[in-house]
Amino acid sequence: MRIATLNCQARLALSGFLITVILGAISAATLIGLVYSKHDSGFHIPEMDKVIAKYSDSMLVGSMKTSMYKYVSEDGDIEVIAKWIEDGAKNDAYFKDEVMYIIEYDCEKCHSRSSQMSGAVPSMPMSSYEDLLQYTEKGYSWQHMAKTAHTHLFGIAVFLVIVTVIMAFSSYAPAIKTLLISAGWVALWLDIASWWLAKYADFFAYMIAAAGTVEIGAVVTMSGLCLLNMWVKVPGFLLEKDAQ
Amino acid sequence: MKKLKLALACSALVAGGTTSSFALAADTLSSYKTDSTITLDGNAESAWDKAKTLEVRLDKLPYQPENYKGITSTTVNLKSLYDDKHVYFLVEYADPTKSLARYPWEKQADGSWKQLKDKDHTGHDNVWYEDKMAFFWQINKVRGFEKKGCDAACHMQDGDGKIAGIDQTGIAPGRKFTRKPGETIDMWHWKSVRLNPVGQIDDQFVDHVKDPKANKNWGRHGDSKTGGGYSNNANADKTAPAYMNRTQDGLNDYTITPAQQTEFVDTFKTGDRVPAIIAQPLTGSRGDILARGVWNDGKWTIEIKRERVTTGDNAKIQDVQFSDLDKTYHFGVSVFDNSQINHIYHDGVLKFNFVK
Repeated sequence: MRIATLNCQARLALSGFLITVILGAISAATLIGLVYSKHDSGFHIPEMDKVIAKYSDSMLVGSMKTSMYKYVSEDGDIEVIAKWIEDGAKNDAYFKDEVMYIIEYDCEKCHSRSSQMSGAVPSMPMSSYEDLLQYTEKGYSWQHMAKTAHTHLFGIAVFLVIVTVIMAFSSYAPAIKTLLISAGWVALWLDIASWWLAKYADFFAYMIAAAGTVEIGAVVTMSGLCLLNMWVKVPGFLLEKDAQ
Repeated sequence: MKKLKLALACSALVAGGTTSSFALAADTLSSYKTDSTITLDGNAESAWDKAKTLEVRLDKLPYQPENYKGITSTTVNLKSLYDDKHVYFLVEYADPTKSLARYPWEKQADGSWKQLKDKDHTGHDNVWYEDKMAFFWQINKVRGFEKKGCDAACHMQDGDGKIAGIDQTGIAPGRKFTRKPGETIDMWHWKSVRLNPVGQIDDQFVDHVKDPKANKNWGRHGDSKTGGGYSNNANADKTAPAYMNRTQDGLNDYTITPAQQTEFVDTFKTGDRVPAIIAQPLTGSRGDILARGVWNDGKWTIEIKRERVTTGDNAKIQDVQFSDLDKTYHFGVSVFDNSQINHIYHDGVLKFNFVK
């Protein structure tokens, strides 16, 4: 069975799914571009120093460099927080005079247990030393890693298995199918494993960017190729021998 | 700047993507030179066609009072013109309700009078109030303003209900003040009932004061004034109005202006209302800004005029001075829908410049 030989209704159903996957991938890439840049809108290329900050720095510093950057008054404030964590995150005069001064002005409006501001996060209060200490561990904590990894692995696997199976039943040459299907899965594992490993070496932050690019690229490419295979005549050199 | 160009993903996603970004949002309002006379009547004359519009989306609120029924988002369209002496702004935004009933006096069935109020859990009204709009302009360098805009001076209660260490539970959800002495913000507070009928904006400013003993409004102050302003229309024992309008005519139904003011004579029937505000034109720095707003078909249109450079008392710390046509000025804008302090705002800062 090949997808190109399915009846019209079956091809319509698969096409709807594949187009949705492509739109989802574009949305994900847009979000990544916004989170890892200094912009609030538009399409942007992620900045590598922000990717490193997210996965190598503490959650507090990483957030101030990335998703929360727009709320940070001045870049020097991030260095103050980073120094406090680097020096052991102690509950001392530096924390009370310097760190809490910044947190109070830039973070606590939304990060307080009683905040009702638009976008408030009362579940992540930053009103005391004990509150802040939770976000000072470098890189992903065991709990954070387990929480984010399992949701991403399960979620991505669901649509990736469908896309790769559709690709497997396309008419393309076996080498193309094997390469793209393998790339999709391997990139997923490398990407998520690097979230954890980035705390040990910046190399793995680059791996996150590379694997993420391959992952999105493979999914979009497979979806696009399958759509072409179902609806238009594909050049013969791309196809398996029987379909040429 | 270290930047990894994720070429594969971006080339697949952004057709022809040879530049590093495709920003969609504009954040700069430009002011264009005009030789025309701008009449402040809330109707945009053809002279405004020369100016380009900056659209600003407002969709954030500082708190969620249970009796707030106003809008939670709107888009403000801004335009600006200038001449040798003045700068002009045109502000337009959708607001489906025209709200002018600010604490009106209402005659009760037993013949007494009552001022209508409905305060929320913080002691502020969202039912019997007025529509308002405000600009925040950085005067002197305010830490964080050129990145965060109004947010740099906004301070909300912490988890213990305190602001700057002072308990504000049931008093105020937030306060405005800057961090240090010398950091000041010009606050143009357009009030549809208290000053719009006399053609002015309440010219205020924000400084570093965070002590209610020094100023009950903390960092918020009115500019220096020599006379005029608005006051509550109440008799000596605050049981009934002191004055009323000779006639009740549309926009002025909830404001008593000098031309309309007359002694209160109670010939009213149950349910009739009398304005609670007496307004006279402000004189001095506080009256620097002239404006007229008109609500029509679900939209407020406000025309604003101010001298580019003001010379009043303390102008340097109370007013933004548009003296340098090559400079970029930073500002923010917000809208109050029938609410005393709850307002719709935007993240970040807006920029303003002059086109020569």
